[in-house]
Amino acid sequence: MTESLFLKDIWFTHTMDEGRILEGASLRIEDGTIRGVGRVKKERGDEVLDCRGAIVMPGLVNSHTHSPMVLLRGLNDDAPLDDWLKTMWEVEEKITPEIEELGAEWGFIEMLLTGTTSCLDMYGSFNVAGAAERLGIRVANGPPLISRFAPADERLKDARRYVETYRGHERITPVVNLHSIYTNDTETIAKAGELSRGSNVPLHVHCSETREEVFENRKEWGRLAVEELNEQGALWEKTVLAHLGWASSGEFRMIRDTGAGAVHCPVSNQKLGTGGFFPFRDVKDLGITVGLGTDGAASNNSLDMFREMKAMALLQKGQYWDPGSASSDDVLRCATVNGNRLIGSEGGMLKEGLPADMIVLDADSTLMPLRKDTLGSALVYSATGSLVRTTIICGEICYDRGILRDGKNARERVREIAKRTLPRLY
Amino acid sequence: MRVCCLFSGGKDSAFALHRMLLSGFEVPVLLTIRSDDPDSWLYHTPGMEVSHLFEELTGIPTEVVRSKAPEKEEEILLDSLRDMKERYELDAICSGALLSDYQRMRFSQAAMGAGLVSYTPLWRKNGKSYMEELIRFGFSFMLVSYSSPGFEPVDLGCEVTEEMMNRFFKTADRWGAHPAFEGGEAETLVLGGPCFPGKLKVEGKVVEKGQYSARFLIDSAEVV
Repeated sequence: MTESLFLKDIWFTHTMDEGRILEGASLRIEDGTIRGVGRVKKERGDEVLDCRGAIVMPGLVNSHTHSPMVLLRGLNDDAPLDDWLKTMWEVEEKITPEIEELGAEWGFIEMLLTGTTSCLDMYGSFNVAGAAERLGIRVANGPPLISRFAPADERLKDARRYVETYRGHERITPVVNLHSIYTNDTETIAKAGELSRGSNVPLHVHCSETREEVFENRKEWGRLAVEELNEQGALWEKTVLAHLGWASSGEFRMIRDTGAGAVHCPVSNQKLGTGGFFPFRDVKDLGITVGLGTDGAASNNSLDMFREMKAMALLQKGQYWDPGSASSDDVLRCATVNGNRLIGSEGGMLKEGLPADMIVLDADSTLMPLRKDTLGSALVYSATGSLVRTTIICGEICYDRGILRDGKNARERVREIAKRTLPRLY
Repeated sequence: MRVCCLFSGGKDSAFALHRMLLSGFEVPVLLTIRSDDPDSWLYHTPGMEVSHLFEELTGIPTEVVRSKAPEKEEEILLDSLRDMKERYELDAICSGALLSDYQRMRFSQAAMGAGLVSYTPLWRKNGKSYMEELIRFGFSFMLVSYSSPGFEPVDLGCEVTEEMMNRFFKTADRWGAHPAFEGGEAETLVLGGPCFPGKLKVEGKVVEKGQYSARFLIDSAEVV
C-alpha cells in the first residue's frame, strides 16, 4: 500500500471547504490523511500522480443503497410498485450469502468506477463487509432487521456482533439497519433504537417512502412514521432516514429537534412512481443534514452519483418552480460533506488533516468551458461517473484507469461475477 | 387518466384544475364539499353560498356534498370518492393544497381508501411565483375576507389586480406573511379563468371586523 501520494499539477481542485476552488494546485497525502493542498511540495518517497488536465474533488458518498441489487437491475422495470416488489422478492429468495457477496462486490466496483468512495448500505452483513474490504471502499452497513421475515432476536444478536466486530474499523462503519417500521414490530423498532444509542452507531431506516406505508402506519398506530420511530426511541441524532417523500412538515420538525439526518433518493422515487416529494429547500432551511442516495440498482438503475446529483437538482427546481431551490453547491454538499456527516465521518472536504478520500476526473470537452466559477455547475450538470479516472480512499488508490487495487481489470471482474451469479438467479 | 378535482371555488383549487387540464388530464367531474363548520381545517368555507354556480362557471359537472358534522369530514370525502369512482370511472383526484399537510395527507388518505391516486400540483410551489402566474394566466378572483395587514376594506369584492398583489407582497416580505395567503391572510373566490366558459358576477357588501380584518358578504351572484 502506498503510504504517501502526491497529486501534481491539478487543473482544478474543488475542496468543498467553504466553496474554495483552486487552480494549478497540488495535494499531498500521507498515512491516509491529507497533509496539504495548494502550494505543497512533493517529499521523498511520495508516489506521484500526474493530474494535468484533471479535476480533483472529495469522493462521493452514496447515502442510501443496497449494493448487491445490481443483480436485479432491469428486472420487471416499469411495473407498479407492488408487482415490482413481488418480483424482487421472488428472485431474492435465490440469493445465497455467496451470491450476495459477489453482488456487493459488483456494486462496489461500479461505485469505485464512478467516484463513490463511501456508501451507507442495507443488505447482507459480514459477507458484504468482506467484499468491501477486498476492494478498499468505505461502507457503513449492518444486518437488516426485518422482524416480519426473520426472528428479530436472532437478527438483533447478529447486529450486535456486527457492531462489536467493526467498531473502530478504518473503512467499515457498523450501523443498525432497521429496514422500516412497516416490516418490523414495535419491540424490534425499540430494540434497534436501544442498540443504536447504546453502541453510539447510526440507525439507518427507510421512512415515509410510499403513501401506502404512511397511511397504514397511521391506521395501525394512529401516528405517522417519524412519530412512531420517535415514540419507540429510535429517532435520535444518529438516525438516518431514507426517502421521506411523504413526510409531513411536523415530522420534519421532529427530525430537526432530535438532530437526525435525511437522505434524498430522487431517481428511485421517480422511477418507482412513489408520488411524494422530498422538500429539500424546506428541509435544508430547518438545518437538517441531507445526504443523497441512489437506492438499489434495481430501482435506479445506476449507482452513478453524478447522475443522481443532476437528478436531484432538476427535480427540486421543477417541483418548487424555483431554480434556486437546489443549487449545484447544495447538491455537491449533500453528496460529500453531508454524506460523511451522516455516518459520523469528518471527511467530504479536501483540507489538511482530513481523511484522504478523493477522486480524479478527466476534464474533457463535455465540461468546457471550465473556469473556477463554472466548476461546481460542470460537476453537477455536465459530468458523469465515466469521467472518473482515479478513486482514492484512505490515501490509497483503489481504482485507477480501469484497474482495481488488486491489479484486476474492473470490468472483466464484473463480467466474471455476472457469469458466476446470474445463471443461478434467472 | 380521469381525474376528479376537489373544487372549493377558491383560487388554489381553480388553478390546480387548470394545471390538470393543461397537462392533458380528463376531468369529468368536480367535487365540492360544503362544510357547515366555518372553522374547518380541511375544507375552504368562504364563498360556499355560490357553490350551486360552480358547474355553470367551470362547464364541468360538479357534485356538491354537504358536511354537517365536523368529526365526519374525512369520512364524507372517502364515501363520496368511493361512490364517484364507480360512476365517473375515476383514476385520481386533484387538490389545490399548497402547504397544509393537514389537507394534503387527509385528501391523499381518502383517495387511497377509494383506490385513487392523489395529485397536488401546487404542493410547496413558490408562493410569489404562483400568485404572479395565476394573474398572468388570466384568472380573475376576488378577496372574500382578509385577516392581515396589507389589505384595505376597499380591496374586498372586486377583482384582485397585479397592483394589489404587489402591495401585499411588500407587506408579506415585511411581516413574514405568506404571499399566497397560506397562513390564512385572506380567502378568495374565483370569478373566471382561461379554461372556464363562464364568469361569476357577484354583488354584496363589506363588513369590517377589526383593524386588519374584514369580510365580504355576498348578496347575489350569477354566471354571465
